[in-house]
Amino acid sequence: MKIKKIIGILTGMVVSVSVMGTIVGCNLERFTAPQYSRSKMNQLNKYLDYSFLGDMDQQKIMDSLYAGYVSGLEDPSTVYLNEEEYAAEKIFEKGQYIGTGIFFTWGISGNEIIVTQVLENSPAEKAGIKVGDKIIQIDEIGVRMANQVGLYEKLAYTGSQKVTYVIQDNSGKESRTVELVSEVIHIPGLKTEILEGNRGYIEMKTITPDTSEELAEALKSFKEKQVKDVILDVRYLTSRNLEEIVEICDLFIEDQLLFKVQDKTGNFKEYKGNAGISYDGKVVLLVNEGTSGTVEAMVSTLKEVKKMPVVGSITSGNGVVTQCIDLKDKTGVRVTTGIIYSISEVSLKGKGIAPDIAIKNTVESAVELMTSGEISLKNDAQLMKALEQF
Amino acid sequence: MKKNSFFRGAAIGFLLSTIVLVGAGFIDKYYYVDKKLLAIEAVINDYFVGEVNKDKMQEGIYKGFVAGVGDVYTNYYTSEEYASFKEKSSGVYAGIGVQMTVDATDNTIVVTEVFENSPAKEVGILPKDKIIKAEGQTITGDDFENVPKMIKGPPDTTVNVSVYRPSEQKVYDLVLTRKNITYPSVSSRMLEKHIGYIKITQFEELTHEQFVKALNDLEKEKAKGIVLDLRNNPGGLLQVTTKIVDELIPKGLIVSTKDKNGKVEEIYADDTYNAIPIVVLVNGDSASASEVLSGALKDHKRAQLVGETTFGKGVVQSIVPLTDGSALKLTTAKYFTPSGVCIQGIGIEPNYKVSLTTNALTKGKLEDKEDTQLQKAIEVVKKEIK
Repeated sequence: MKIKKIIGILTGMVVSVSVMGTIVGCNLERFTAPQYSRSKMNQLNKYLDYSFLGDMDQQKIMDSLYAGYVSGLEDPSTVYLNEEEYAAEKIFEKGQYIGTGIFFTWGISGNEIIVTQVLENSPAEKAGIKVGDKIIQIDEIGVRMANQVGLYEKLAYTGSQKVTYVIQDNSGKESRTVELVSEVIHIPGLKTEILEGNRGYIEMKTITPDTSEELAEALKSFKEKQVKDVILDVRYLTSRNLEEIVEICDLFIEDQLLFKVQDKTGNFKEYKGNAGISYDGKVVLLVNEGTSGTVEAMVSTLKEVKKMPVVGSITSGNGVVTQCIDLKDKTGVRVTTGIIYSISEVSLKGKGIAPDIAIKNTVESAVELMTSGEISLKNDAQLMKALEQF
Repeated sequence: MKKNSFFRGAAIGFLLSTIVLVGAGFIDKYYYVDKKLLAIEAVINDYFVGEVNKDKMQEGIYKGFVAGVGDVYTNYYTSEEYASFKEKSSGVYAGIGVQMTVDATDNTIVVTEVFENSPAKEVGILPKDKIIKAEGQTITGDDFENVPKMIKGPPDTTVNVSVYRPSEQKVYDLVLTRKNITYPSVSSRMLEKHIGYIKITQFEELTHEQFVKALNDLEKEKAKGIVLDLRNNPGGLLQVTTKIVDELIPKGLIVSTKDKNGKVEEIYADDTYNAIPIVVLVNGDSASASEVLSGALKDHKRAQLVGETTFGKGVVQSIVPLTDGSALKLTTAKYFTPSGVCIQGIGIEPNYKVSLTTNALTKGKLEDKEDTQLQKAIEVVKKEIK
């Protein structure tokens, strides 16, 4: 009887394997990934497992794998967003900010990170961190160039865990420990000032659904003070909001073609200004390599349609329209869904918009930023040049 | 009755096998990865506007996978990148013998260095010349990545290059014959009477012989003390570095390494050495092999260090070539200085701390007398000669 049972078991196993094998064979494409080689992946995994001196966080590795796959498109605007990044993206799309409120640059010695900006009402501001403060340690990582990767991760982290910063004040004598947790912060869209010679200066810090209204208000307020010449500073301004850019262009341009967007099928969609009153004072634009995204549509339009002088350095060349797609597992992909073209049919993707007057900021301003966290007006060569244009 | 036990057995066998196969075979660790990649691919197919290069995306998967371990020194190299890496470490390639960079002010490619005994030197190319044409093609700063490929080639073949010399406002059309160029990682000169200067820019395969030659040349010029400059030296090959240390210290431990499995390897110096007084210059960009060298000399009290705390790279990488020409570089061990310290993230403190002023740091080329770190090193080595 035992033998019969054993033969039975063996027969059952053979049948099972045959059936399974047949199913797999018929559906082979579904079970092997066309995107990569399994054997190569196994090789890499084997070496890392056996010899890599360090911890391996499987979740992080998987997220990095997907990010690597998407980065193969070589489009800086199309990226994979892990869970934390996807949640933060929703905030960025509205032109708001999520984080600790610290903006920074590396100190000249490479052993400290200097705070260059502290957002109003941010966790950093509430903790008493000031512009010019030096960060010498973040959690367990000492601030050194050798630890760049880990440090950037902590500085860019937008999740709910607290991060510990060791801050040294500007004199270098006292240091203290501060714990910060990321928060959503509403950034003021504009910063306005009246400069020497009665010139208006508007620094655009972010694009929110209210920005065009705020801008209209600022221009009106200037006019009431007899200020008609205005410098519009869009350096370091990046946005993915196309609708608001149209509204902003509308403030300066009447019933005319502004720019076009080419979609996947190759067709162009035209964006036009509305009939109505447009600003009649002289405006000069300030741009640099940080001017990016839909903002470049605005720069191109104001330059070509309104003939506004553009001062500074070439923009980043990311004039595209994007959409954030949910992958249904709390992660997502931000995808370029359209390429922006100027009215003269020049693509704004790949090559940035060259300024009419090219001028870089000087070594002095970079040094000033690295040592004190700010650039004073006299060291801002680009702004000084813009003032000369009136 | 007999048949019953057979069918019972069959049922058990079938069930067990199915469970095992389904469990192990299909829900393997790649199942979720494959599924997600398919989902991402679908999104790209449906929405993405732009060119899709599947090969680049596949390479992106391997790059991303390896980068995911979160170690800046652990990377995946495509076969092209690996070939380039091997060439760089060998220190030899067939070309014309110039160092180039992009001049951002006018988006041109400018020559920064012309190597001795090179084809470029023979035809009279000078530093500051702008390379405006290579093999008939006009080139700008945007072509920087591709220019080496255009200029390099098999030795004894010719290449046409046009350069513009700003000081003369003239264009020169030149024909050069490629030669095997040795990338000079060591340069040397006399600083003052009896004080020699050796600078090592990187540790490549030929660096040890170049170092020995430099040392001999300086001793012939009556050098009694040497300033060894390792500032901004990012490292390189460990074996080459230990050979250089061996030249300078008597019998003793140079460096030890320990891998993931606890295996320890020690490298020792032999009895013979050159006892000439040495002072080593280091700064925050002296990394890896530079730190092995300066750490060994400091711990053996063979040389004092002047300058700033070094970078802090105390880990060693190994390269694993894969069968298709690509490669994996990964951190496999920590290294320890002779006194048993792992400097990862910490660096090595100099005996004399001297920093360059902010102004000096932003200058392209520093005069000896403006180089306060160099001046201190000269002062220290002079004391040792007495």
